[in-house]
Amino acid sequence: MKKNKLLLTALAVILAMGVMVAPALAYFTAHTEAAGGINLDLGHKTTIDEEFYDWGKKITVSNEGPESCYVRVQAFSSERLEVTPSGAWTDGGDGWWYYNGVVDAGKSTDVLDIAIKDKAEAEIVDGQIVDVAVVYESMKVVYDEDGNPDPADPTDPTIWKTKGNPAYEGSGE
Amino acid sequence: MKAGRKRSSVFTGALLVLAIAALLFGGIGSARAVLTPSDEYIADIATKDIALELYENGDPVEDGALLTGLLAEGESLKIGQVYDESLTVKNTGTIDQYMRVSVYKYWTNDGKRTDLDPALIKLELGDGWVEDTAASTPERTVLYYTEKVVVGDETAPFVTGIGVDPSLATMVEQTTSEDGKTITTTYKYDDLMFNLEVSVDGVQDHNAADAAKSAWGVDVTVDEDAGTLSL
Repeated sequence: MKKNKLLLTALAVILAMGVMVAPALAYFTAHTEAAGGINLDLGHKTTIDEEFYDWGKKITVSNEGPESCYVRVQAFSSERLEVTPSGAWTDGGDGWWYYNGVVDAGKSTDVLDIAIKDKAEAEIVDGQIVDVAVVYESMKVVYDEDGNPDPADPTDPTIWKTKGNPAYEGSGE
Repeated sequence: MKAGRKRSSVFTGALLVLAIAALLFGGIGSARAVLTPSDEYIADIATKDIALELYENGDPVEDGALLTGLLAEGESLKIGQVYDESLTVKNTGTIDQYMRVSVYKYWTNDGKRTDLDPALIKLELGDGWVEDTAASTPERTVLYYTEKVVVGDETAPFVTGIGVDPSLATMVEQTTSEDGKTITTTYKYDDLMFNLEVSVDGVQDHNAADAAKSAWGVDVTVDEDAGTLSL
């Protein structure tokens, strides 16, 4: 009986001390938090438009977006071709014609005129099909830390031989 | 034995009388307190208050929402560009504090995407903060402000810029239509959201090392005279 009383008393003292000690260990603290995000709308869809006339066709490439891109074009034929650029088209000297500028979403390139050169009447065979194949590549515009296009010069052939050009062998993840 | 019982009864009786007397006089005292008019004395007791507020580009963050003004309306994020994003903390309480922040960056698309690389979200960190590399992960950066933040003061920015790594542009696929006229380019990170989340903690400057240990569970070294903190 006496032992129980002692135990109860001890327990009461410990509880009382615990109640008193807890506030002494509390420190002043503060907390706040915040969050936010930005959605990425990547990718671009480009279409080449060909307007035919006698012995040639006029090429433009349009970008439906949503992002800006660079463009280059190359033409192949068994015939001799003459390319007449307008606006920002630049001969890369490597068979490609580079559009020297950013094609923003919703915009098109200037016209690139590709024609069969000096086809003599005598060479024309009735029913003969003459192919002029045109291929093109588009590459996303990436920016430097200050928001300027990087690389800045899309007429530099070396930038098209990087992973930034999806058509380049070795690109992709 | 009988004498002992008698003494006990007397003691108990005395206690009873004392208790009744205490109750009676206590009651009367209370009644007097109610009935007796007295002069009024007003004492201003200032309680200590600890508080802090997160600031984004010089303005307090409202409703806990970050990055709301990063882009103008209709503007798309330029991959590779580092946008100005200044995050600071202000001591808005009445006691000086030491502070730490945890900065989280991650991708979401109908929920958190832990399979995508948070390192592709670029954060530029500011000076005056020391990183707890042991607590940091690719997703979380834990920073401690190295100076005491006195009442009303603001820290140096712990984040100064944010952007997306340009290497993200290489994770791409292209498909060409059957007629060869249309090329569609799609990116692995298209239609994803990059997220920035910030958690800020402050502790009192007195016994700050113990306070940090108690509140945050970390060991920090505080020079209370110099008002500096180190890990």
